Amino acid sequence: MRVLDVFRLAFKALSTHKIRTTLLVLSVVVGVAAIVALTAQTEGVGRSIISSFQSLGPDTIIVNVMGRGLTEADIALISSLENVREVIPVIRETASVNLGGSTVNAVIYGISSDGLKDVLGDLKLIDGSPYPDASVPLAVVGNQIATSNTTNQLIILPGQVLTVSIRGGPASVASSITMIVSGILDKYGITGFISPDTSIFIPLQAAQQIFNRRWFNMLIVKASDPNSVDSVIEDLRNVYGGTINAMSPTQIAQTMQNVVLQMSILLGGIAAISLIAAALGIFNMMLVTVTERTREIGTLKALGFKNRHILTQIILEGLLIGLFGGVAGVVIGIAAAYMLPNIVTRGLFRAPMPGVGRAQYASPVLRISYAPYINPFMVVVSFALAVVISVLSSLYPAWRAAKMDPVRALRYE
Amino acid sequence: MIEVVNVWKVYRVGKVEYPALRGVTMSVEKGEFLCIVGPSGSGKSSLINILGAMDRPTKGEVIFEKVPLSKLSDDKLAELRNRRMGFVFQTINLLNHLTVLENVELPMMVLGIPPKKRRERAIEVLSRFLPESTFYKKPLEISGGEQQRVAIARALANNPDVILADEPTGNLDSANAQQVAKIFRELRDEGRTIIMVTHNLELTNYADRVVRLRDGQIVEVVKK
Repeated sequence: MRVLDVFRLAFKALSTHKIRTTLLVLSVVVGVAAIVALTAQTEGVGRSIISSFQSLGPDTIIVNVMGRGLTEADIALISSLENVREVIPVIRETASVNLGGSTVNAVIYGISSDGLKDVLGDLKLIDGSPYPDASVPLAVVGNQIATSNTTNQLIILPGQVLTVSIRGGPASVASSITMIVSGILDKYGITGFISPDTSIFIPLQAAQQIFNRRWFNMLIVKASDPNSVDSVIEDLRNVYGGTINAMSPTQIAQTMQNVVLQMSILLGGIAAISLIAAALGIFNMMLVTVTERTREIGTLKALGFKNRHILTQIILEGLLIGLFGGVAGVVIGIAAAYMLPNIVTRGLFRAPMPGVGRAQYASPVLRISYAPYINPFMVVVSFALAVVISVLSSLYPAWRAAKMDPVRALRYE
Repeated sequence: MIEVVNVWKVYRVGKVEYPALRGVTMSVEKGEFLCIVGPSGSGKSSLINILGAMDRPTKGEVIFEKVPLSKLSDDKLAELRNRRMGFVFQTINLLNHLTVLENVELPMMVLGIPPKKRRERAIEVLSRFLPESTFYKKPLEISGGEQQRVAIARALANNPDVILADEPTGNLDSANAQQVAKIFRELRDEGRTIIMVTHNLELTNYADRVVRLRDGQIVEVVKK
């Protein structure tokens, strides 16, 4: 018997029960689409984070010391180490900005203008200009803080005076400070240790004056070349012992890569559970179908169809469900993968601040912007899973059909 | 052509045994039209199923052209049914999701005949019994009499030597029943062997020989 004929018979049998077949295919589609769409999100987020870390440059080391801030003495000491080219100090404070009755969370970074370029990799401004290194409180504001949630228009413009409330600072620091906006950043999305979209950058000297302190939260250390990064980290550990926390973006990226991989496996695994549910559905429906078609199977046997012909036809019906479901699932999964980031960034993470009447601004700290990444391997794996599970689910019903006694099958009412 | 030697068929339901055939011995000659008659439960269907290699006897032997069927595997029996035999059932048993032509092509599919040749042969066989307008219809779109003629065409698809019909007129009106019996007579005249189980004694007029069964045993053989 020709394989194409068995395929044709299987296809015709499936097309007889269109609604039943559609529902079976849909159950496979949901599983495959979920795997493709969810793993695309985790991989997209991961790649976005990793690339932003890598934008800091392979020669960068982020340094902080546990239990205390870093001082000018630390800068001098680290600068004196072999293979250290530059040390960029950073001050960090959490704050909130009141705009039109709504409160937006923000992080204020005090950093030199050159340091800002280093941290962001490429300084992209949509309006205004970067600040000079001065003690004047000029600010470069993150895109999300400066943009209206509803109209998507800029609501903060260069030259505007911005009032910022400092949260949890020392008593010596004013709870409210004013700054003049010098520039508005373009959208950056997720970055490594700084989220530019939800940050306000001011000159280091101005930050020292405003926050009335001489210590820094972290130092960005630039090695003379990427190959020297490991030796500089080793020197730092030798000098500071176990209290120092020194990591290169490459190391962080590698760690993130592992975390993202584990997240992908977890989410993919959860999505794969729906495929198992689909398999049970196919198994159940195939058993029902075989029972319904008992007389048909008896007729085919009377006409000379062998056990293996019946077995092959039922398995092929399962295979076709898997193939259709797999293909449609991949297509829908890819479409869903590109739609999900919009849903996530517009909906899920944009709840209004507690106590604020209008949901105009959300907590910007939670805002995520990334491009999903469709991993061809995951596409192939999810498709193959759909096919394998569908075929496995039809094995027992097919075996039962093949083993039917033709006389009894023909008598079946 | 077919010899039945002391065939018993016993069905078991739990521990209770129901003998359907009790030591039947008979032969079917090549090219004859044999009718098997008898009351319900006399073992007619059991006998035709065993003659058609669809079922195995509990005891005894069926010899088809000097080959004992007990020696053949299930696959070999399926091959025998496909190449040498054609079946017509009371319940017709056409596949309702296939067209009339596709139903007739089914036995040829097993032989691996290419679609174009299959189609030509199916049209050739069907044209004998039905107008072309019915060929592309589904079984449920044609009458019962037409459906039974499609089933006869399907039985003839692989040009078999033997046609086995189990109550083929049971679901037909008398006019259609006569038509079907006439077709079988024509097929017999072409040299095919016809074995037909029937309740309708009128149809036995078309047969060469009538075997009467009662309680699983042959009680009468009438040569016409």
